[in-house]
Amino acid sequence: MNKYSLRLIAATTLSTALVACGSSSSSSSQSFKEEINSSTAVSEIINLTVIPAVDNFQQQTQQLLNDSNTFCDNINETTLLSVQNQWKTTAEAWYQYLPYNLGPSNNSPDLIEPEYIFIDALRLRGINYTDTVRNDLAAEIAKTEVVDPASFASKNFQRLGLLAAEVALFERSSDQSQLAADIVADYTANSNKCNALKGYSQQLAQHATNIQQSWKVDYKNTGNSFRNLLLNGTLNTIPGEGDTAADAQLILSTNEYMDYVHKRTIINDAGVLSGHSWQLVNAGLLSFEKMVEGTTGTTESFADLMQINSAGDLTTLRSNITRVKQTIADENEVDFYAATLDLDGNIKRELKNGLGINVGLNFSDGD
Amino acid sequence: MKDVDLYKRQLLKTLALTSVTLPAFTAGVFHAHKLQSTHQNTHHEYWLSAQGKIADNYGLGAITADKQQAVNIPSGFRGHGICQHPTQPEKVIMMSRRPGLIGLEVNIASGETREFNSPEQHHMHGHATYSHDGQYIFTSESDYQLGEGKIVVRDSNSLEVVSIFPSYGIGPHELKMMPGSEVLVVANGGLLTHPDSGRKVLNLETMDSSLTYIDSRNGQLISQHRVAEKKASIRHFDIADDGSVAFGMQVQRQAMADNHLVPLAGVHKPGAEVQLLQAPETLTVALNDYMGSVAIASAQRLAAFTSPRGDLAMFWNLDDGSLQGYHRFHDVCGLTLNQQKTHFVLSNSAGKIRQIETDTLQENPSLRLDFPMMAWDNHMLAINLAG
Repeated sequence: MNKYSLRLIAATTLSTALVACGSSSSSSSQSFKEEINSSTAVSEIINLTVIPAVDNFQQQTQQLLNDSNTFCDNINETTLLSVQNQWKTTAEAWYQYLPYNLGPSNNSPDLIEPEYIFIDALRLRGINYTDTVRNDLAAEIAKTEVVDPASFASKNFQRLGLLAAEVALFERSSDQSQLAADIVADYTANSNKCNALKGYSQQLAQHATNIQQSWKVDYKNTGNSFRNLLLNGTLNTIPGEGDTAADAQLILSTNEYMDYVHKRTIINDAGVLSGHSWQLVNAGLLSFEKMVEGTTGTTESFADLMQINSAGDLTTLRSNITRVKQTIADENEVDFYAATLDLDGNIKRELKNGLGINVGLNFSDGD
Repeated sequence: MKDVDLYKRQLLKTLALTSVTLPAFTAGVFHAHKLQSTHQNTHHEYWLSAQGKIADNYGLGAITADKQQAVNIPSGFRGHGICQHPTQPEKVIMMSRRPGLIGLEVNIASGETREFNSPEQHHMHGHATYSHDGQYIFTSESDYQLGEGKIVVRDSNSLEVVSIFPSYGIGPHELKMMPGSEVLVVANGGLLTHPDSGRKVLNLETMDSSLTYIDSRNGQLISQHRVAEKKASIRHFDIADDGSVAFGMQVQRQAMADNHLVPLAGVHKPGAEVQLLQAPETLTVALNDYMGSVAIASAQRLAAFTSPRGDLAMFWNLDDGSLQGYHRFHDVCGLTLNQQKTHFVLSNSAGKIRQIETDTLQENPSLRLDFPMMAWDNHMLAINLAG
């Protein structure tokens, strides 16, 4: 037996042995978390950053719908420019929200057809559906009967969303000319193109409203808002929901966003026709920065907590946020993706560890 | 909430944080529950899993029969898979996680433990299985000098190595005996690692994963099966009563040239081609290229898979390959079928347990358990000491 150790647990291992008592999960395990209390900061992030982003996106989609109707009632270059600008504002509003792609947008009504894919098909896995949209729009325009905008509710996600509205607004369908006069002429000659634009705008507004309602009023017919369920730690009482803590959800969702940005090289795929790609990623970055630093009304930010708990990590994180900002200002794609990759790593390490947030054993490792 | 008072919870927390000895633990913990259970004529079922977030706390965690307590049997290393002796059910083995060097045999009834090590120039991959008669232990290991996968055979009494044969691949991971035969099924993950470089994969460009069938009596290769996606690493599986093998994969996305979607689950039936299990695009994306554990409910013809990176458990029909359902659970990886085969048991690194009815695939929230001091690792095993 010299090769093997033989021992009695009771005799030799008491120093590290544990007996843990079980409880039903309805009793929160929060009291056992070996981490700093970030509940105030998390609550303020949800209420002062995420919810305003949700509200803003919903309002902008409604304005886009209004401007689309105005444009179609009076088709000219001035009204076209107005609705094009509103598309840009709406897309920026989406990117302000996108780092917080949580339950109302990514698990409602379910995981199979979540709201977000009907707004941003690219976000699913970086597939650019521009050609799919172009072909579908051309088919709608070519129809001899009047296209009912409401019928767009039955379209699949690859043919809808911000991209579809962008394709409709920023190019002539026949040859992709981006001259305003050509686009106006396209709409004048093809009344169904306006019906398609209305269809896209209506669907955007509907999905934005669905997300807003879930965040603020009623999530999955529970009679309670996602905000309350998340902050109260009671999401796990709902069938089909996970039980990830609110702080961990913020880490995971922002990490996933940064991961998406650098892996999917979205400068080449998002906001391309509108020439608004850099503004979109800038909106996402500023929204993330707001999560870290807080905003008007914030009394306790993640940065405040990190300053106390792990100032070095905060310095690193801030440094890379600044670096990403500079690459955006320079419109330097190579440096932007490299800096975003680093920021992605900062979320996994400095932000998570600096706040002592537990996201699970398999977050950055597995077997 | 069961009768665990706040004071006790706080005490446990304090003890955990300060590493103070817990006087309550003795080798008789299991005995006490066993006797109590016998008296009440209830099942003596235990759920075992490697557990621990930090090195000081690594061990084999066991949830006692009454589901009121979880006991940690310290290991000194981060464990991975656990297997049970077929004829001495009180004996289990927990293997160290890749690229570990130690296996731990635990007698759940007596508290005795024995360790064994990898042969020279070998390291372990986290899984072991017994021969049907219990005479031998098969472990998945690698000869890191040669860069070859090996099946190391040990006498289960002496724990001495009696033979070593090839796994017919690189990076063998989970392995199990085919029911009613001497065929050993091995998931060759295809990933080359070396202790000097830790868990870093050294052969992403040339990786070759396979599901391999080996005659456990002589180490002869019987057959090998691959999936079309070369960067999909077959890592874990379970075997149904009829020999159907359901396997889960982990995609090495960083080695792929594009972002095409890769199914992460498959079924192989004797004499048939591998069948990949399909899911809607959104769900496959949500799995994040990672399946962690597999368990089969043979009676219901269901294969269950867990994806800790997707926070999902997924369920497919073994025969027609149709997706039957999914369940969200943060960082879920541990997965086993309870001894009565009425529930899939899921565990996560926050110490939580959930149970999914095998007949309905609905979770029964009243059966949720929470062991906040335990961080259940990748695999869980249900055992029944009463036989």
